[in-house]
Amino acid sequence: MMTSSQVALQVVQQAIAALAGWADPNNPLTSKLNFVEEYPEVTRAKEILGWKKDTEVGTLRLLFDRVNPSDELKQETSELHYHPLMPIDNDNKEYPKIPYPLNYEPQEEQKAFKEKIKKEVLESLHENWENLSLLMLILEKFGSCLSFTESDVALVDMNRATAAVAVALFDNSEAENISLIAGDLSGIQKFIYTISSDGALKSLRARSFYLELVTEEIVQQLLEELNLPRTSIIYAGGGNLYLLAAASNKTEEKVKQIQNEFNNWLINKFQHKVFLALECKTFYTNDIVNKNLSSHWNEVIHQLNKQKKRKFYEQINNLLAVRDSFGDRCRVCYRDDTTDLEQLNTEDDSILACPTCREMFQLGSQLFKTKAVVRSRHNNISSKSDADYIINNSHYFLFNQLPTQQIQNDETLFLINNWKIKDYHLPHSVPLLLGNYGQESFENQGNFIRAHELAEEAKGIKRVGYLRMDVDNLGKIFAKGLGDNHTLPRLAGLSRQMSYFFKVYLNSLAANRKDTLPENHKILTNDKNQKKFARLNLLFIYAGGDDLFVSGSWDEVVEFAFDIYQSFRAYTGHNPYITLSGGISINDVKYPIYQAASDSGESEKKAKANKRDSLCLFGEVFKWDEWLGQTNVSTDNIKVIAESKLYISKKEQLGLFGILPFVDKLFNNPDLGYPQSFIRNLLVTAEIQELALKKAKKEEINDIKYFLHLPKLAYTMSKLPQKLRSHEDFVLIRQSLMSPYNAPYFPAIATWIELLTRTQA
Amino acid sequence: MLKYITSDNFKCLKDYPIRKLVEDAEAFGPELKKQKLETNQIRKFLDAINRLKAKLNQDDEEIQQSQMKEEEKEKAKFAKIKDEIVLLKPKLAYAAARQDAVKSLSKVMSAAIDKVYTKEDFDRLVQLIESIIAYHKAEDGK
Ligand SMILES: [Zn+2]
Repeated sequence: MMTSSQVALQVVQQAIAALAGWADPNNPLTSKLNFVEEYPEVTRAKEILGWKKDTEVGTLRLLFDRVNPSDELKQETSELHYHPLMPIDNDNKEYPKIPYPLNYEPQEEQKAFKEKIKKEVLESLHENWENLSLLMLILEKFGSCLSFTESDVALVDMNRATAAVAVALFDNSEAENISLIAGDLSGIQKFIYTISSDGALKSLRARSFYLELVTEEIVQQLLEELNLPRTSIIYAGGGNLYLLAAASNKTEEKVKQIQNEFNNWLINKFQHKVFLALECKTFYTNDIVNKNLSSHWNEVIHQLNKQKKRKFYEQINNLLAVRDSFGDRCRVCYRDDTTDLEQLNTEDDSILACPTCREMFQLGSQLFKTKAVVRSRHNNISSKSDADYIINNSHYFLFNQLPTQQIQNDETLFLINNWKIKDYHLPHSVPLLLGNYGQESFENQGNFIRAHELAEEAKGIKRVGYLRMDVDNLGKIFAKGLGDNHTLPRLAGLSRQMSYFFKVYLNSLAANRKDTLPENHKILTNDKNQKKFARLNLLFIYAGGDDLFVSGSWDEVVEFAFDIYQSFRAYTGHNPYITLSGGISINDVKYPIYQAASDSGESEKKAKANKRDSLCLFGEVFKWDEWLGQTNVSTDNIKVIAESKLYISKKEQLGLFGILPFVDKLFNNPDLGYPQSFIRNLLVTAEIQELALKKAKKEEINDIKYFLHLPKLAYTMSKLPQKLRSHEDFVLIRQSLMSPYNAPYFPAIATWIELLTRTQA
Repeated sequence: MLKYITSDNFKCLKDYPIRKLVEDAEAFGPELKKQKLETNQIRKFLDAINRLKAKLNQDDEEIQQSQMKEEEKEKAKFAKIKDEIVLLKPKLAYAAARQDAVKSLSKVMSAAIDKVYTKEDFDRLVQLIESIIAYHKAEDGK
């Protein structure tokens, strides 16, 4: 009997054949497929998606170029971008290189890439021709940078979309309707961030990893119950999931059933903190490739939000109902409905914690070494595992090394951030992509770095930094960003590439700054100071989907934020509608982490409130272009200061503009040798200005903001030693600092330098 | 600057816009430098300004503990220094009589003092002299 996996396999084999045909027209695969009869589901799916017999693989245009969620035409005449021809691989390195788009179509590079495919893929295809998960990996690895059917549709996305549609038409190839299943785990933030305890950083990491597994388990159960292969997943990660399935009563029943079972388990495990909304929406199969898809998509999201709200009302009822309370609380998550409280760890002064918190603490200790996870419905798997976690009746076994024995047919092997084809020869091996970079502890090797170590490694003041960041207007980008080109393969491509940045390339950027920064980047610490340049003292708490929460030595977190912004903008082709906003909080080691999480969240909100594309740092909010600044520029050419220009109304040539260029010139210039009092005077002036602003009448605000401090600045700088004042670089600094255009920035500049140079803790 | 202050553009010094004030001081400070003004020549005047500033900001228990509204408290405090502000003018005139370089500063400040009626006006007066002196001193560092 034919299975849905076979349908998917046929699509994937055809995609592989197309890839092989591009790399080597003489390869035997295409002719091999000619003798295979095509399933009617596959024929129809290909027809719907525009995949023809003669469709060829080609170079891939950057999909981000198309994104315009606004109602007007694109602001800038944007360049055309292409994907560089390179596989996603970590063969000789820990993390893949970041594929920054090219502004030309790669031609000469094709030959080498084709050779690579021939060597790494074609030769081993014969023995793996039936191995669906391995073929999928190949397509993801080599087919993410190639187009198929349309110039901006990636081969991998076309393949997945076609397979998903074909499987949804399983046994009913003429089906008029198809079903989109969408899920959303809400309350994640609550579960992850509202804890306070020792070793909290690694517990936080464990929590976000655990929720990734929970998301995966929901997907797994949907796949199992609905008899779908993994190709049916459109997107899954960070508590969100989208699947395609047959439109039928069975689908709806199973979805409801799984949702109920899961929520029962979640209530038990997380005391109503986490809730699964799961919806299923049926629509015309042909809508997969037209504009209607977007309204179906929005509809299903709307339904999910309704479910979440309803859950909120139920929760109130729940809170009103009499509930068991045993008085004593878990000191980590504050629940009081269990008497099962034990010490969190073996240290004498360890606090009492509930079973879930103890489990998360333990998981946090294991994660650093974890390379693979096996999911099984039973607890006796053949390979010896390092730990076992149960998620709604499924076992998740953690491995520090890849398991050597065959895993069983009903099991899945997840390989964490692994793109090596040779590791995927076992059937049911799938990559688990996680934004999970973490520095190793210096004191306790084999573990994540701890907060006090992060503080100690910081330059200047000994503090930990917490960064939260996410993509601006993401909902809008997905809802209407693609306009008339809103098709399933493009939508899948957009979410895949967006989440790749946070799950895959953010690791690369953290671990290998030297080789991963985009061209023309701006940085503070240059590679003369190799250790600080590398800024490795980071620990990701969560990164995926469209957002991140990262801790680290405060100075490195700040630089990482600047790197992330520049890298993301380059990665998305500098599309003016695809931006990030972020907030950083800088704290003492003892500061409760849930408070730091909430502070950096508040900062992020302030950045969003500044019309987005902004960063809030040191309590100051500016557009990224102001933080990054420019050198030797006419005010005519600085877009970001439109308001200042309107008020100041005179043109100036600025040697330095913004924040980073000043900090760079002042901080990275040891032979300037300015006295510490200079920075302190700037800070005092900033304080006076701030006070004046508080008392100011509305019509005086701009005057104070741009001018009040200038006489004091002039005086402060005149007091500096003669040698410094005549230094070429300082002349530049003085002239630029005295421009009212730079008035908003000197408090941030002074604070940054002050914190970098503070010697006592 | 003198022209602007003595003009009818504003009656009270607090209405001297900060931006204009700073830009004027930026031009006037170096001008004074050229005329070879030394700050010790007007030391007594600057000391007097600082004294008044301190006095104004001093916590006066009697006023603080009274039932007056915040606004009235300000007024009462200002009343205590009001007469002394007028006495600033002779101090300047005295310095100017002895030193030519002080004359133009004296003219500007006297005109400004004539427009001080409230605490807010006085605050602006302090801003004015501080800005002029700051830019004047900054000339040394150029
Ligand atoms: Zn707990």
